[in-house]
Amino acid sequence: MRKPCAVLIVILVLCAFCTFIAVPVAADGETTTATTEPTITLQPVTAPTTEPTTTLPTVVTTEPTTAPTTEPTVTVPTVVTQPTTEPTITITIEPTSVGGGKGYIDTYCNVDGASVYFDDSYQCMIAQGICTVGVSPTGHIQTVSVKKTGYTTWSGSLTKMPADGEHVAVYATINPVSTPPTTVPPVQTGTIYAQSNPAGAAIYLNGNFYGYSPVTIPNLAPGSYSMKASLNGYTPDTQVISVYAGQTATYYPVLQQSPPAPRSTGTVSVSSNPSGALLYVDGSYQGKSPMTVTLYPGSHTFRLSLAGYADYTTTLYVNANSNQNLKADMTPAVYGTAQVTSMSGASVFIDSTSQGKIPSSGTLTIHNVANGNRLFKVTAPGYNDWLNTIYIQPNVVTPINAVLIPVGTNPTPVPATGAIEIASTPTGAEIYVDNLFKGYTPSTLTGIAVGEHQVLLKYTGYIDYTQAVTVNSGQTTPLAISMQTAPTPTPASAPSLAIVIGGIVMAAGIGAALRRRS
Amino acid sequence: MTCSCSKSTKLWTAAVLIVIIIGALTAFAYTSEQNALKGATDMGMKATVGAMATQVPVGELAGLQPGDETSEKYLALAKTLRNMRSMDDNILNAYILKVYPNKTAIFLVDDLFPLDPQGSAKIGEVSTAPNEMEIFAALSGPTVSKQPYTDKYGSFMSAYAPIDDAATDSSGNTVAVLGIDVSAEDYNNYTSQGGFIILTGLVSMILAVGAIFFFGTRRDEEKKE
Repeated sequence: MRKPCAVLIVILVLCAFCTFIAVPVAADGETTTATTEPTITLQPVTAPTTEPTTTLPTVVTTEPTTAPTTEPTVTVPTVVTQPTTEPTITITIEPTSVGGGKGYIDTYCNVDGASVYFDDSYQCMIAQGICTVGVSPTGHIQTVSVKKTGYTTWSGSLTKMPADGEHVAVYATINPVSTPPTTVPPVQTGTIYAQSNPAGAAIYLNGNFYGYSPVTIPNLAPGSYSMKASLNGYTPDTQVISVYAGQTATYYPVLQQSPPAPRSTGTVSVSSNPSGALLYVDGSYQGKSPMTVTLYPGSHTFRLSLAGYADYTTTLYVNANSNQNLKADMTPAVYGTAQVTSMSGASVFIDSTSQGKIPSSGTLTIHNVANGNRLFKVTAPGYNDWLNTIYIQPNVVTPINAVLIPVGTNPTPVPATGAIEIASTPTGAEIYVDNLFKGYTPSTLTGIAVGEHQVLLKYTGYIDYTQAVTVNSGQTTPLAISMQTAPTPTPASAPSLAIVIGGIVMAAGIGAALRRRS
Repeated sequence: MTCSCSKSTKLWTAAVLIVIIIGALTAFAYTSEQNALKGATDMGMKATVGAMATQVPVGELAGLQPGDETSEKYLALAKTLRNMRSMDDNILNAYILKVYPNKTAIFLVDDLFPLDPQGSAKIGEVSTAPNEMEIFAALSGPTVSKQPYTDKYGSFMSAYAPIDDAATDSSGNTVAVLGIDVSAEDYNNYTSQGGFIILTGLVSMILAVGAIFFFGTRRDEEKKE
């Protein structure tokens, strides 16, 4: 019986190994799956400056070629023989030999295949850079021309006929003519066809609204596009669609209905005359009218605001699972007049909009002030601001007397304050004084009331530091703090292999002991 | 003798089967638990960054140029981001990216800049995070990194969400992308907590195999006696 027990132990150990191989042990976070281990996903750090050049797609431009399109075999004249570039070269006549009744005109040209003409009469074609034509010394040739399609025409006069047996050299240089490309290469673009289910969803391309489904988005450069389909009452769908040249990629989002609200809601369809009024419900901006808002049951305040019109305000009780219509007939705003009396030169503001300065007369009359409560502010250098909310009645002149008080004459005693200068290691710790966030270290906090205050420093990975600091009037209390690193929590380690094997041996031993007893 | 050998073979076969079954169930439970933890964590990150993105003052992003890092507008944006993420210490960084159709993403705002100008991204700096597709897809909706990654700023798990201009003109177009980073180590620690399942499976395996052999051989001895 001992032999089977030993074999059993061996099998169990093998099983344990198999389990560890099949299932990665990752309890302590040190050994984890390949997909979550950051060291496996290390990416080479690329200098930021080089990044765009590697990611930006190469823009293919269609530069018009300077080479002639009809004569592809002709080489561009990069090697020029005697004259370099100017076609107005004078003919050089170099007698090579004398004698006989026939002379020769040697025409040198930088382009093979060019045709040589004497007085517009075709003579020969340039081959290997030269064309030799035998002529009678008594003949009369005035003009030598060299022509080739796609090149400039060279032309010059022959000043001397060759003598018998003499060679007269003529050097001609022709250059390619810059011609626009005969055919424009077709633009390589693709198309996305988007059709949502249900239809009518707003389609966004790379985050920008394009149209409503179904819609075709043409002329897209090949590449990836971030698509979104959004429809009220449905969960938006997002996908990355790849577009290939000459093909139509499809985007068929199937939208799922949004999860129901935690409790029943009602809707209110709001319209206005004229439309386009800004709609606020319970003080929150909702959009422009007409629109439908979904609200929880209860009383809600609706306000529509449109420039040139008086605000339309009403309160509606929204019932669950029902829709109400709210039509707001906006009435043109009714204006009143404000007469502000104050110190000459003081600036006057209504609802933060400048209205001008008080003239020397001391009274500024402001017409066309929309009725209702308006915030008036009168300011002048060296004086405290004057602020007040005044109700402007329509078609009524409302007098306003703004008395400015010089700065420093405020009888209100200023409470004594001090400052705390806080530095910490490491820097950047969050500073809280009496549990109020004050900024980050290092910092000098001014305006701290005299007395004792609790200073708290917080920094991720460090132990919170708290200290009571006494602030004296007009003094700065220094505070230098070295924060202690927070102890790393001991990770819950996975069962080690030794423990596992020990457990197996123990279990086998217990089993054997029980068997012997029995 | 033949009968005894057949009995032993049956016991071994039963033991192997039980090991395979329990091992497979353990592996399934472990994998499911890992996926559930990762899914819940990713969903939480997406929800957080999505909610944060709605609070970004979109109008302030317009006109930001390289060199504006010390402007009042930039500092106000950075403070807004810092205040939002200060609610959760696990969020190490919040930043705003401008994403182009060619998937290039450049930094517009890094909330760490006022505190650590040398160790944070400046306006116009190109993002080197390998989450190119996740950032690009965030033009349409919240996304999260497939797995933790490492760049020059450290090892992170990131989530991204579109910043829409709906609050200003109701067009719903995406102006930029908000990103948040959490520590890759924290993320791994949270999503790798399946040790108890493995231990349970192993113990179950031992007990089951032990029981098979214990009761199987006990009957034989009783018969012999």
